[in-house]
Amino acid sequence: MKVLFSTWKDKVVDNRGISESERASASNVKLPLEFRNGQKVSGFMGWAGFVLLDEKADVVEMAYHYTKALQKSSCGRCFPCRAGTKVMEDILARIVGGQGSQTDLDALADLCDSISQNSKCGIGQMGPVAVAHSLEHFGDDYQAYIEGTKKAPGHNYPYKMTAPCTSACPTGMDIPQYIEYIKDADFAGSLANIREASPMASTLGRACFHPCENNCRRDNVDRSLSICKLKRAAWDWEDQHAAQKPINPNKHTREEKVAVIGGGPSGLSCAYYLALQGFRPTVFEKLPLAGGASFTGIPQYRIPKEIQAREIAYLEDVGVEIKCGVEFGKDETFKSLREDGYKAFYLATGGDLSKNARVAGEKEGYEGFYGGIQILKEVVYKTMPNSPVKGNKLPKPKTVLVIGGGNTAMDCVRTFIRLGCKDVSIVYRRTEKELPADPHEIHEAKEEGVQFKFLLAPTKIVAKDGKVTGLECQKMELGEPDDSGRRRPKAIEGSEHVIECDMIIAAIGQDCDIGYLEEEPDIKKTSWNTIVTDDDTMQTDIPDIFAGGDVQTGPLTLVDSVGQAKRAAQSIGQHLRGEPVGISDEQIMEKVIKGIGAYDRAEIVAEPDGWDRKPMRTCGMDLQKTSFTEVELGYSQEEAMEEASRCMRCYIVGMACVPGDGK
Amino acid sequence: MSEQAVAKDMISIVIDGKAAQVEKGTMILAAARSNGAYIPTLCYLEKLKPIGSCRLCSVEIEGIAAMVMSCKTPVAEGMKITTDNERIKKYRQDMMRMILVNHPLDCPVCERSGECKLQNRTFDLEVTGHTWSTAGFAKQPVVDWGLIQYDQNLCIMCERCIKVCREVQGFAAYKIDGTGYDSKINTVTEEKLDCDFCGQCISVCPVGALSSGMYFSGRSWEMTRTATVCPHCAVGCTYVMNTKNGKIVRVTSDDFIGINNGNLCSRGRFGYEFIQNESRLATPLVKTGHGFKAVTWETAIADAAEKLAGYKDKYGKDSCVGIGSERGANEDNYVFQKFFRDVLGSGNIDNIANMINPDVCSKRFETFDDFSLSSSYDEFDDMELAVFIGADGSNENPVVSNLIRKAGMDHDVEVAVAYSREGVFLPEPRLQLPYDYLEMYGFTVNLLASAIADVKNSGAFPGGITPDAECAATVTKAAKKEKLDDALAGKIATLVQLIRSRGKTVFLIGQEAQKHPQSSAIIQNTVNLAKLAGGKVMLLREYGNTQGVNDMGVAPNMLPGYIAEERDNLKAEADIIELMESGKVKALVILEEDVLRRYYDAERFRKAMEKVEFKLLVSQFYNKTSPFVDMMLPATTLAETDGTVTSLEGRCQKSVKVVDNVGQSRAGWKIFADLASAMGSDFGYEQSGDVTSEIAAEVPLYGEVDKGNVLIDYSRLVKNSPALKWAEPPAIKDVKSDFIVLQDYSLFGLGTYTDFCPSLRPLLGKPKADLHLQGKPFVELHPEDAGTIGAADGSLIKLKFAEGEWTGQLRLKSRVKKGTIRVPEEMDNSRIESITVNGSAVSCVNLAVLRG
Repeated sequence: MKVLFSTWKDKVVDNRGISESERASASNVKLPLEFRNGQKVSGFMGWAGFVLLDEKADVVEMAYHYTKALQKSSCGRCFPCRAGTKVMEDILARIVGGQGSQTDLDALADLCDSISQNSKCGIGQMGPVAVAHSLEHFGDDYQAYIEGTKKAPGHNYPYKMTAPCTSACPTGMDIPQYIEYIKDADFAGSLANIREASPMASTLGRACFHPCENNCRRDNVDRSLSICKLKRAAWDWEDQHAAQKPINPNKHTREEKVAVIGGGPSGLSCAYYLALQGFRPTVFEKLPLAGGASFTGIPQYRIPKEIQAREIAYLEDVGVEIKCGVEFGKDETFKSLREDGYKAFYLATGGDLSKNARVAGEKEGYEGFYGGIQILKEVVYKTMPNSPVKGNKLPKPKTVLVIGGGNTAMDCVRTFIRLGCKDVSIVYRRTEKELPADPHEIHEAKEEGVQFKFLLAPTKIVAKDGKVTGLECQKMELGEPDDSGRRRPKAIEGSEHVIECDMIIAAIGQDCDIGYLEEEPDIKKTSWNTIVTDDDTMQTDIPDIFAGGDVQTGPLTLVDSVGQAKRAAQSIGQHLRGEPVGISDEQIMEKVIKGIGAYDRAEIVAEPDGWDRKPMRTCGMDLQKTSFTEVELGYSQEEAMEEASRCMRCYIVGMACVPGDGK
Repeated sequence: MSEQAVAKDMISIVIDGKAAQVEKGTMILAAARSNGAYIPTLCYLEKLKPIGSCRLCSVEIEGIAAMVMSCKTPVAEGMKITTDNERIKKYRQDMMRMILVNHPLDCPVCERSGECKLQNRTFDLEVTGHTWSTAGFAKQPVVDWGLIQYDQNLCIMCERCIKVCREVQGFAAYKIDGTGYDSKINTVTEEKLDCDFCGQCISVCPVGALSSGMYFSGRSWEMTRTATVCPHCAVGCTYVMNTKNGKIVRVTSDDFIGINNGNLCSRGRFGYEFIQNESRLATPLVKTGHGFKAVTWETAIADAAEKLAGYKDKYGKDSCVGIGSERGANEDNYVFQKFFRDVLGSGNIDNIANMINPDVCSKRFETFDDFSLSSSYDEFDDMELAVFIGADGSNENPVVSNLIRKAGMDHDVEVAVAYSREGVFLPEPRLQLPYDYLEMYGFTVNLLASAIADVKNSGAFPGGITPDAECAATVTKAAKKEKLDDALAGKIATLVQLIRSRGKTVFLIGQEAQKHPQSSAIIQNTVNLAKLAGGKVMLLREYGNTQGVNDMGVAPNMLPGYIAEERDNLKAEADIIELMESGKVKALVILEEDVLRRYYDAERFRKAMEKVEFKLLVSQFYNKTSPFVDMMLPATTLAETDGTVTSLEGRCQKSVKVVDNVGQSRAGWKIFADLASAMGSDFGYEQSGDVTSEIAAEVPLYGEVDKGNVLIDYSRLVKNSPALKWAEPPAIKDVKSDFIVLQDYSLFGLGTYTDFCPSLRPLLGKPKADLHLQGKPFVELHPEDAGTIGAADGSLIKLKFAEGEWTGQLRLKSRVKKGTIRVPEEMDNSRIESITVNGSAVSCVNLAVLRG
């Protein structure tokens, strides 16, 4: 983007004195031009330098406010950051106030170096770098302040403290903090911290696809932290120890009832944060048990259902009412619930229809043909302890073909291995490299004996007497890359052949069922049958109706739906209290930082390598192949504490310069 | 060396140009220190996990641009480390300059001056003058938390206090409050500190920020420091007495001496005032018609010797009985029993622990057949599960819990607590198994049966044995008779699975189990369980020398070293109280015990005393037994004499003379040697070391004891049998009452010593205390029980004792089991005659009734 000046990531772009049209771009940074409603952004100061967009920005004042933000964000747990940034702040205050001296400038440079070389976490390590840049490139401005020829303009400086992992997490979880708690042997403190971002530490700690770990700076050193599993360690500690769970001091302190439609991760999370605000949320779940896709779509061996039930039971302790077996649109409607006194709605009905596989015969109702999430649900109900669902025996196929390469497909194949099926295969159009599933899941599936049939596209289900007997497939080859960068598979003419099997599972994605919206035609829908909301507030065009999770994003991840739930709960709270519905300056800054990118895979991190990631023990291949025993056994306290000690606490502070009105 | 190196996964590094081999996982700091490099530190403490707040331990690593903190960064293969150069020194000085921003130059009036780590580092690193300053904050007032005070102005926020409180004490009382330069240490609740008051935080504070108001009595360099054994309970902690001009001014601890890793409890750290208390008996006292009268030692010894000799001659061997001391040194107890056996010709001696339950004292090695019963703290090194049985581990023997927590920081240890209430171990244990006091035996037999069933179903536990069928059947049958509620039964199943899944289990048996009417069966069940589990059993002990008094043979029919008395004429025919009640006894001699306070049926003992003509008490204090005796001889405490005491793990340690004898007090061994001499037997001791040498020569078990601290090897006494042994419990007296009165151990008091520690007394829930930092004295009850008797939180509850009444407040705690009333340890439930709540009587039963 066009800038006036930038030192971002040590790449100096200096367009001072150059007309706007002729300015060179800073290619490594992207900033919004507006903060909110016409407020211009004039500059940004952060962990890798600073950027000035126009002449309004005043570097010295920015440096002062940025140092103030650093000092305020400093946890106080190492001397240089705690005391050093305070000394810096005082010096800058003197300079900005016209009382500075040359000695102050020398001390400032010295402090920037000492603090950034020796601090415990990113605030001290990376924060002073921008101030040092300002001293280096804007010495004249500092001199002008010292000489009294320049006065502070008094701009606004919204800022946000975050971390690369936190910024990558849709829930905005304060990851370095919950990890630090574990390092300090305070598992309860850790869990309390996690719960500020999500009430589902167990579910996320067992089955999140952990974007945090792909944005972990430790990965630049040796290997990313086991962030996801540490979350589980915190939850397991509370579950396994005679610990008192936190009580909700605001439980039912307000009268307003909120209807949460759908008892999946998004609905439950939203209800939790509504309960914490004192409201009375009721979750309406279609199925006999709450938990949604994380319950019925993730097999027992990844998330034991008895554990999940305990996680959900805690939500009831804090004030969430859960009504199962209620189908929205049929048993209850917007109208009936409004009449019942519900003041707001959160629609989180997920996507529970299996996508069509576009294979001939899939609509024929052949025995032996299933959708991925449908069969997983049946198996979960069959294999969980104390199941509320009685019914037919599970099918016992000889040969199972699963179409698709995502996590649902992996769950399906690994499930049928456990059900005793010897011949289980994945059928996938591309090659192993393109498999979208978690590499760990693919590895485990292989270890357990799953076969992979690559470069095969199913074309037709072959059946006899209404029963599946085979799948006709066409061979493929990889052609040119498509928009997503993946090489597009091309069919090889005449390569059709039939693979014999007695069960076919189509696990290529899900669609949403939003038939209940007929009652509220003003709510906008997308062509993919998802609900349109404001992206920040999750509010639909009808003020008391909010939506989030898969039904808003289209089938996405667990953690995305949880993240939206928390924002929705905030908006619903604002709506019910009669406040304007919107997000805070800090939340805007969070988006700004996301836009810049808090994590840089190319950054060279000054930390010695060679501290191995702590592996998690497993139940062993014998049990893995024959039972639904949870595969991963969890960390012991000691293991968790050691793994947590690898965290480098890469906290960063990003601050924007927003000139005030009339200035 | 090289073979070991391979086995331990060694890696090669270079420190300051020198190649070194270190174990993988070692932190750079430890690697550098073990290779002779000095790296300054301020927040680092070996017994804690690395903190990383001071940033002084920075080093350079080749290829890494920023400074690396050596305390918390592990070595890696090929790492090239520089521990000192100009750049490093400059940064270290900068770190000090930042710490010293606004640090008050109050050194002349700071009690830590001279032993302040900040002073030392400032000096080492040649930091002169305040380079940087900030407006900072105005001087803050010192926060007074009772025994602990916090001075924010001096605090450097190193976090050691927070860490030690969580990792070692399990309490987690502190937190960092606020951010940036305004941050400070505060209590988690942000209210007045309400904690164990162990003072671990004071001991680790590198500066004068945390201190005790008790200490401001001398400069560090004026104090003489003597390491000796803490006399309060049986853990055997080493503490350091600090004296100035012959006066004890404080107690400190040393992480590197003794078994306790520098940890002490509140009794140990703050409970030293009794030693030089003005209430100490200073002269021999003889009862007259108008109370006690001081007499000279010559008169007292001559008088007592004449009486005792007279009884012996006139009434024979059963005319004199004696009670030895669980707090006196081994030397005192050895000479005491020698005086009785050799001079008075009487074997009628005992000690209170043995009077309450001989099976765990003098008869321990007869009753229980497994060597797993004598375990040392070394067992914690590879322990993976600690199971407290009938033990309030954190309050009875507090530092044992510290050692367990420390083990849990070094490797993975889980804790399970079976006790008659919840919430007695922190941090929250893996399992709490609260049983009803009366069903304690039922609990243990069901636990054993459940383990046996598990062995049957899933095979033997790793390292454990398989029970024979007959014993298994007996246990299973016995267990069926003892119905437990479903919740407890479920927890038993969980515990059995926990034992199976963990490595070594150590069972710690506490006072509730040892003093229970069905104690022997309870302990045998636990020993059997340990055999099944391949685990170990440790008997916790109440007082400083409960182990030693029994080892020294102060028990009927058992000579020192658990050698059976062979001489028929010295065998005791009945227990001491029965003999007293029979009227045969003319003289009772008590060595440093308050029998009427400690014996569960004090009233019976007092009545029995009435039948005895001459009662002699050797004591440091006028205690509850004193009014009923005829003569008192002033004894020294362990701080005034050399001697040895034996801890609960069987470690015999030297206790060292620290201060001069208070008044005319004499050591116990000296008093009985003097008496013997007056009766014509010269024991020939010049000093306590002579007694120690005699013990070493005469008592095979203590053969090495004159050579220093030794772990007594009891294995020679044990019949080590792998088979389970069945112990039938005696029937418990059928009592019908709404409540059982149970005592809770207090961290702040145990026995007479702490009665005379004014600084600790405010912390006790004691009737006589007039100051209460922790609120009013209280009695605890389950909320539902309170409902049924129409009481509420804060209701007045009146306890009637033989000697008066006490009124206090009721505290409702869901962690108290239903059907029990919990009174503080100091309140001695045996003397409670009745309880009324809001004016109406509550039917209750105390332990004396259950045992009687």
